[in-house]
Amino acid sequence: MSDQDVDRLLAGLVPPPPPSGTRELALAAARAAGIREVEAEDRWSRLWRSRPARLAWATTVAALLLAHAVLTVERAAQGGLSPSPAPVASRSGNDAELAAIAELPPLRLGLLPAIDPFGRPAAASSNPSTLSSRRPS
Amino acid sequence: MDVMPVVDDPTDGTWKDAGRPLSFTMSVESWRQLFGDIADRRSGALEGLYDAVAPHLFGLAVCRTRNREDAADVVAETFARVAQQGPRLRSVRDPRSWLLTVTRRLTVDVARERVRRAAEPLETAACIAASAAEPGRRLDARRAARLLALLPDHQREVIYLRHFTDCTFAAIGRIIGIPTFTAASRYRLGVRRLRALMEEAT
Repeated sequence: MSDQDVDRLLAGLVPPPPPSGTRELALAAARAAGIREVEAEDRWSRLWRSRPARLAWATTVAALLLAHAVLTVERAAQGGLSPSPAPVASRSGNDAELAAIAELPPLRLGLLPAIDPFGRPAAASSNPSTLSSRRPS
Repeated sequence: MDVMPVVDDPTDGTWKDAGRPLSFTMSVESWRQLFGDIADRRSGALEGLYDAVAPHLFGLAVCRTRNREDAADVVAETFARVAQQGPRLRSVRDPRSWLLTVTRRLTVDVARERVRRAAEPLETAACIAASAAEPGRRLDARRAARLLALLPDHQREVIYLRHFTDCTFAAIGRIIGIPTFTAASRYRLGVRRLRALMEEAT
Protein backbone atom coordinates (compact mmCIF):
# COMPACT_ATOMS: atom_id res chain seq x y z
CA MET A 1 0.00 0.00 0.00
CA SER A 2 1.51 3.35 -1.04
CA ASP A 3 0.55 7.00 -1.31
CA GLN A 4 -0.44 6.34 -4.92
CA ASP A 5 -3.16 3.99 -3.64
CA VAL A 6 -4.56 6.85 -1.57
CA ASP A 7 -4.44 9.15 -4.58
CA ARG A 8 -6.11 6.47 -6.68
CA LEU A 9 -8.88 6.08 -4.11
CA LEU A 10 -9.58 9.80 -3.98
CA ALA A 11 -9.12 10.48 -7.69
CA GLY A 12 -12.31 11.21 -9.57
CA LEU A 13 -14.36 11.71 -6.42
CA VAL A 14 -16.07 15.06 -5.94
CA PRO A 15 -17.59 17.07 -3.10
CA PRO A 16 -21.18 16.04 -2.37
CA PRO A 17 -24.05 18.16 -3.62
CA PRO A 18 -25.78 20.20 -0.91
CA PRO A 19 -29.26 19.06 0.15
CA SER A 20 -32.18 20.25 -1.90
CA GLY A 21 -33.37 23.63 -0.75
CA THR A 22 -29.90 24.87 0.16
CA ARG A 23 -29.72 26.96 -3.04
CA GLU A 24 -32.91 28.84 -2.17
CA LEU A 25 -31.83 29.15 1.46
CA ALA A 26 -28.40 30.54 0.56
CA LEU A 27 -29.67 32.98 -2.05
CA ALA A 28 -32.45 34.20 0.24
CA ALA A 29 -29.93 34.72 3.04
CA ALA A 30 -27.67 36.63 0.66
CA ARG A 31 -30.46 38.87 -0.57
CA ALA A 32 -31.65 39.57 2.97
CA ALA A 33 -28.11 40.39 4.07
CA GLY A 34 -27.65 42.64 1.05
CA ILE A 35 -30.84 44.56 1.82
CA ARG A 36 -29.82 44.91 5.48
CA GLU A 37 -26.44 46.20 4.39
CA VAL A 38 -28.00 48.85 2.16
CA GLU A 39 -30.39 49.96 4.90
CA ALA A 40 -27.62 50.04 7.47
CA GLU A 41 -25.59 52.44 5.37
CA ASP A 42 -25.75 55.76 7.20
CA ARG A 43 -26.71 59.15 5.78
CA TRP A 44 -23.15 60.47 5.62
CA SER A 45 -21.90 57.44 3.70
CA ARG A 46 -24.69 57.84 1.18
CA LEU A 47 -23.91 61.54 0.89
CA TRP A 48 -20.20 60.79 0.46
CA ARG A 49 -20.91 58.33 -2.35
CA SER A 50 -23.64 60.43 -3.95
CA ARG A 51 -22.67 61.58 -7.42
CA PRO A 52 -25.07 64.60 -7.44
CA ALA A 53 -23.65 65.77 -4.10
CA ARG A 54 -20.10 65.51 -5.42
CA LEU A 55 -21.10 67.38 -8.57
CA ALA A 56 -22.73 70.14 -6.52
CA TRP A 57 -19.61 70.45 -4.37
CA ALA A 58 -17.33 70.66 -7.40
CA THR A 59 -19.61 73.23 -9.06
CA THR A 60 -19.63 75.39 -5.93
CA VAL A 61 -15.84 75.35 -5.68
CA ALA A 62 -15.50 76.20 -9.36
CA ALA A 63 -17.99 79.09 -9.02
CA LEU A 64 -16.14 80.50 -6.02
CA LEU A 65 -12.79 80.34 -7.83
CA LEU A 66 -14.31 82.04 -10.88
CA ALA A 67 -15.89 84.78 -8.78
CA HIS A 68 -12.59 85.38 -6.99
CA ALA A 69 -10.74 85.68 -10.30
CA VAL A 70 -13.32 88.05 -11.79
CA LEU A 71 -13.32 90.34 -8.75
CA THR A 72 -9.50 90.47 -8.66
CA VAL A 73 -9.29 91.43 -12.32
CA GLU A 74 -12.00 94.09 -11.96
CA ARG A 75 -10.31 95.67 -8.95
CA ALA A 76 -6.94 95.73 -10.69
CA ALA A 77 -8.56 97.43 -13.68
CA GLN A 78 -10.01 100.15 -11.39
CA GLY A 79 -6.56 101.27 -10.18
CA GLY A 80 -5.09 98.60 -8.11
CA LEU A 81 -5.84 97.27 -4.75
CA SER A 82 -6.93 99.61 -1.94
CA PRO A 83 -3.99 100.59 0.32
CA SER A 84 -3.60 99.13 3.77
CA PRO A 85 -4.56 101.52 6.63
CA ALA A 86 -1.29 101.17 8.61
CA PRO A 87 1.06 102.80 6.08
CA VAL A 88 -1.48 105.57 5.63
CA ALA A 89 -1.39 106.38 9.33
CA SER A 90 2.43 106.45 9.43
CA ARG A 91 2.56 108.71 6.37
CA SER A 92 0.29 111.35 7.91
CA GLY A 93 3.05 113.66 9.25
CA ASN A 94 0.72 116.50 10.09
CA ASP A 95 -0.86 114.77 13.04
CA ALA A 96 1.76 115.01 15.80
CA GLU A 97 -0.19 113.03 18.35
CA LEU A 98 -0.68 110.16 15.91
CA ALA A 99 3.04 110.20 15.06
CA ALA A 100 3.97 110.11 18.75
CA ILE A 101 1.73 107.14 19.34
CA ALA A 102 3.13 105.34 16.32
CA GLU A 103 6.75 106.01 17.31
CA LEU A 104 7.53 104.10 20.51
CA PRO A 105 10.24 105.42 22.86
CA PRO A 106 13.53 103.58 22.35
CA LEU A 107 14.99 101.48 25.08
CA ARG A 108 18.43 102.60 26.23
CA LEU A 109 20.34 99.45 26.71
CA GLY A 110 23.05 101.09 28.80
CA LEU A 111 20.57 102.30 31.38
CA LEU A 112 18.91 99.14 32.56
CA PRO A 113 17.30 99.22 36.04
CA ALA A 114 19.44 97.80 38.81
CA ILE A 115 17.83 94.97 40.72
CA ASP A 116 19.24 94.51 44.16
CA PRO A 117 18.36 91.15 45.74
CA PHE A 118 18.99 92.53 49.23
CA GLY A 119 16.56 95.42 48.85
CA ARG A 120 19.09 98.26 49.07
CA PRO A 121 18.13 101.39 47.23
CA ALA A 122 20.06 101.98 44.06
CA ALA A 123 21.99 105.22 43.62
CA ALA A 124 19.96 107.35 41.30
CA SER A 125 22.90 109.31 40.01
CA SER A 126 25.30 106.44 39.26
CA ASN A 127 22.76 103.86 38.22
CA PRO A 128 19.74 105.45 36.73
CA SER A 129 16.82 103.10 36.29
CA THR A 130 14.58 105.21 34.18
CA LEU A 131 13.75 104.91 30.58
CA SER A 132 14.26 107.94 28.48
CA SER A 133 11.04 109.74 28.11
CA ARG A 134 10.39 111.40 24.88
CA ARG A 135 7.62 113.78 24.76
CA PRO A 136 6.11 114.68 21.50
CA SER A 137 7.15 118.11 20.48
CA MET B 1 -18.25 20.86 -11.93
CA ASP B 2 -18.65 23.43 -14.68
CA VAL B 3 -21.72 25.56 -15.02
CA MET B 4 -22.59 28.09 -17.64
CA PRO B 5 -22.11 31.65 -16.50
CA VAL B 6 -24.43 34.56 -16.76
CA VAL B 7 -23.01 37.82 -18.08
CA ASP B 8 -24.35 41.24 -18.68
CA ASP B 9 -26.13 41.65 -21.98
CA PRO B 10 -26.20 45.36 -22.89
CA THR B 11 -29.00 44.85 -25.38
CA ASP B 12 -31.77 44.23 -22.89
CA GLY B 13 -30.14 44.72 -19.49
CA THR B 14 -30.45 41.07 -18.46
CA TRP B 15 -27.86 38.37 -18.04
CA LYS B 16 -27.49 35.48 -20.40
CA ASP B 17 -25.25 32.49 -20.84
CA ALA B 18 -21.90 33.46 -22.31
CA GLY B 19 -20.69 30.03 -23.28
CA ARG B 20 -17.55 30.11 -21.15
CA PRO B 21 -17.29 27.78 -18.15
CA LEU B 22 -17.73 29.20 -14.66
CA SER B 23 -16.09 26.70 -12.38
CA PHE B 24 -14.44 26.43 -9.01
CA THR B 25 -11.04 26.09 -10.70
CA MET B 26 -11.38 29.09 -13.02
CA SER B 27 -8.67 31.77 -13.12
CA VAL B 28 -8.27 34.42 -10.45
CA GLU B 29 -9.24 37.08 -13.01
CA SER B 30 -12.53 35.29 -13.68
CA TRP B 31 -13.15 35.06 -9.94
CA ARG B 32 -12.50 38.77 -9.51
CA GLN B 33 -14.81 39.56 -12.38
CA LEU B 34 -17.55 37.47 -10.78
CA PHE B 35 -17.02 39.20 -7.42
CA GLY B 36 -17.13 42.56 -9.18
CA ASP B 37 -20.45 41.62 -10.76
CA ILE B 38 -21.81 40.62 -7.34
CA ALA B 39 -20.56 43.92 -5.91
CA ASP B 40 -22.49 45.70 -8.66
CA ARG B 41 -25.55 43.67 -7.63
CA ARG B 42 -26.08 42.31 -11.08
CA SER B 43 -28.91 39.84 -11.16
CA GLY B 44 -27.74 36.30 -11.75
CA ALA B 45 -24.25 36.82 -10.34
CA LEU B 46 -25.05 35.30 -6.95
CA GLU B 47 -26.77 32.37 -8.61
CA GLY B 48 -23.72 31.82 -10.81
CA LEU B 49 -21.49 31.90 -7.76
CA TYR B 50 -23.66 29.39 -5.94
CA ASP B 51 -23.66 26.94 -8.85
CA ALA B 52 -19.88 27.21 -9.11
CA VAL B 53 -18.89 26.87 -5.47
CA ALA B 54 -21.69 25.40 -3.38
CA PRO B 55 -20.62 21.71 -3.46
CA HIS B 56 -17.00 22.61 -2.57
CA LEU B 57 -18.04 24.84 0.31
CA PHE B 58 -20.58 22.27 1.45
CA GLY B 59 -17.98 19.49 1.39
CA LEU B 60 -15.57 21.58 3.46
CA ALA B 61 -18.32 22.31 5.96
CA VAL B 62 -19.22 18.62 6.20
CA CYS B 63 -15.56 17.81 6.89
CA ARG B 64 -15.82 19.55 10.25
CA THR B 65 -19.48 19.46 11.18
CA ARG B 66 -20.17 15.92 9.87
CA ASN B 67 -23.76 17.04 9.60
CA ARG B 68 -25.52 17.92 6.34
CA GLU B 69 -27.99 20.36 7.88
CA ASP B 70 -25.29 22.25 9.74
CA ALA B 71 -23.17 22.30 6.60
CA ALA B 72 -26.08 23.66 4.55
CA ASP B 73 -26.52 26.42 7.14
CA VAL B 74 -22.81 27.23 6.85
CA VAL B 75 -23.13 27.55 3.06
CA ALA B 76 -26.13 29.85 3.44
CA GLU B 77 -24.31 31.97 6.01
CA THR B 78 -21.29 32.17 3.70
CA PHE B 79 -23.49 33.62 0.98
CA ALA B 80 -24.95 36.09 3.45
CA ARG B 81 -21.38 37.20 4.26
CA VAL B 82 -20.69 37.61 0.55
CA ALA B 83 -23.72 39.87 0.17
CA GLN B 84 -22.78 41.85 3.28
CA GLN B 85 -19.42 42.77 1.76
CA GLY B 86 -21.06 44.73 -1.07
CA PRO B 87 -18.56 47.00 -2.86
CA ARG B 88 -15.72 45.68 -0.69
CA LEU B 89 -15.80 42.45 -2.74
CA ARG B 90 -13.83 44.26 -5.44
CA SER B 91 -10.81 44.47 -3.13
CA VAL B 92 -10.66 40.69 -2.52
CA ARG B 93 -7.42 39.48 -4.11
CA ASP B 94 -8.17 35.76 -4.21
CA PRO B 95 -11.94 35.24 -4.07
CA ARG B 96 -11.75 31.45 -4.04
CA SER B 97 -9.47 31.35 -1.00
CA TRP B 98 -11.57 34.07 0.62
CA LEU B 99 -14.72 31.95 0.23
CA LEU B 100 -13.01 28.88 1.63
CA THR B 101 -11.64 30.90 4.55
CA VAL B 102 -15.06 32.31 5.42
CA THR B 103 -16.66 28.88 5.13
CA ARG B 104 -14.02 27.28 7.32
CA ARG B 105 -14.35 29.91 10.05
CA LEU B 106 -18.11 29.53 10.09
CA THR B 107 -17.69 25.76 10.14
CA VAL B 108 -15.36 25.93 13.13
CA ASP B 109 -17.94 28.07 14.95
CA VAL B 110 -20.70 25.56 14.18
CA ALA B 111 -18.49 22.64 15.24
CA ARG B 112 -17.74 24.36 18.55
CA GLU B 113 -21.42 24.95 19.09
CA ARG B 114 -22.00 21.28 18.35
CA VAL B 115 -19.49 20.30 21.03
CA ARG B 116 -21.59 22.28 23.51
CA ARG B 117 -24.60 20.25 22.41
CA ALA B 118 -22.68 17.05 23.12
CA ALA B 119 -25.80 15.14 24.01
CA GLU B 120 -26.84 15.06 20.36
CA PRO B 121 -25.68 12.01 18.42
CA LEU B 122 -22.77 12.75 16.09
CA GLU B 123 -23.49 11.92 12.46
CA THR B 124 -20.85 11.02 9.94
CA ALA B 125 -22.05 12.64 6.75
CA ALA B 126 -19.78 12.03 3.79
CA CYS B 127 -17.66 14.95 2.65
CA ILE B 128 -17.01 13.35 -0.75
CA ALA B 129 -19.13 11.55 -3.30
CA ALA B 130 -18.90 9.89 -6.68
CA SER B 131 -19.39 12.23 -9.61
CA ALA B 132 -22.49 11.93 -11.71
CA ALA B 133 -20.28 10.95 -14.62
CA GLU B 134 -18.93 7.94 -12.71
CA PRO B 135 -21.79 6.33 -10.82
CA GLY B 136 -19.83 3.07 -10.67
CA ARG B 137 -17.49 4.62 -8.10
CA ARG B 138 -20.14 5.03 -5.44
CA LEU B 139 -18.67 2.16 -3.49
CA ASP B 140 -15.21 3.77 -3.64
CA ALA B 141 -16.71 7.08 -2.54
CA ARG B 142 -18.43 5.48 0.43
CA ARG B 143 -15.26 3.69 1.43
CA ALA B 144 -13.12 6.81 1.09
CA ALA B 145 -15.63 8.89 3.06
CA ARG B 146 -15.66 6.28 5.83
CA LEU B 147 -11.86 6.27 6.03
CA LEU B 148 -11.64 10.06 5.94
CA ALA B 149 -14.13 10.24 8.79
CA LEU B 150 -11.65 8.31 10.93
CA LEU B 151 -8.97 10.99 10.52
CA PRO B 152 -8.60 13.91 12.94
CA ASP B 153 -10.44 17.03 11.78
CA HIS B 154 -7.30 19.02 11.06
CA GLN B 155 -5.86 16.31 8.81
CA ARG B 156 -9.14 15.61 7.03
CA GLU B 157 -9.72 19.23 6.10
CA VAL B 158 -6.19 19.61 4.70
CA ILE B 159 -6.63 16.48 2.57
CA TYR B 160 -10.01 17.76 1.42
CA LEU B 161 -8.65 21.20 0.48
CA ARG B 162 -5.69 19.65 -1.34
CA HIS B 163 -7.61 17.02 -3.29
CA PHE B 164 -11.02 18.55 -3.90
CA THR B 165 -10.48 22.31 -4.05
CA ASP B 166 -7.15 22.23 -5.91
CA CYS B 167 -5.44 24.45 -3.34
CA THR B 168 -1.67 24.71 -2.93
CA PHE B 169 -0.19 24.18 0.52
CA ALA B 170 0.45 27.92 0.70
CA ALA B 171 -3.23 28.61 -0.03
CA ILE B 172 -4.29 25.97 2.51
CA GLY B 173 -2.05 27.65 5.08
CA ARG B 174 -3.70 31.00 4.41
CA ILE B 175 -7.20 29.52 4.58
CA ILE B 176 -6.63 27.68 7.85
CA GLY B 177 -4.26 30.23 9.32
CA ILE B 178 -1.22 28.02 9.67
CA PRO B 179 2.27 28.06 8.09
CA THR B 180 2.69 26.39 4.71
CA PHE B 181 5.04 23.82 6.21
CA THR B 182 2.47 22.88 8.83
CA ALA B 183 -0.19 22.45 6.14
CA ALA B 184 2.12 20.16 4.16
CA SER B 185 3.01 18.25 7.31
CA ARG B 186 -0.63 17.72 8.24
CA TYR B 187 -1.33 16.48 4.72
CA ARG B 188 1.58 14.05 4.80
CA LEU B 189 0.57 12.69 8.20
CA GLY B 190 -3.05 12.45 7.10
CA VAL B 191 -2.18 10.50 3.96
CA ARG B 192 0.05 8.17 6.00
CA ARG B 193 -2.78 7.56 8.44
CA LEU B 194 -5.22 7.03 5.59
CA ARG B 195 -2.87 4.49 4.02
CA ALA B 196 -2.61 2.63 7.33
CA LEU B 197 -6.39 2.58 7.62
CA MET B 198 -6.65 1.21 4.10
CA GLU B 199 -4.21 -1.56 5.00
CA GLU B 200 -6.21 -2.41 8.10
CA ALA B 201 -9.41 -2.53 6.09
CA THR B 202 -7.94 -4.98 3.60
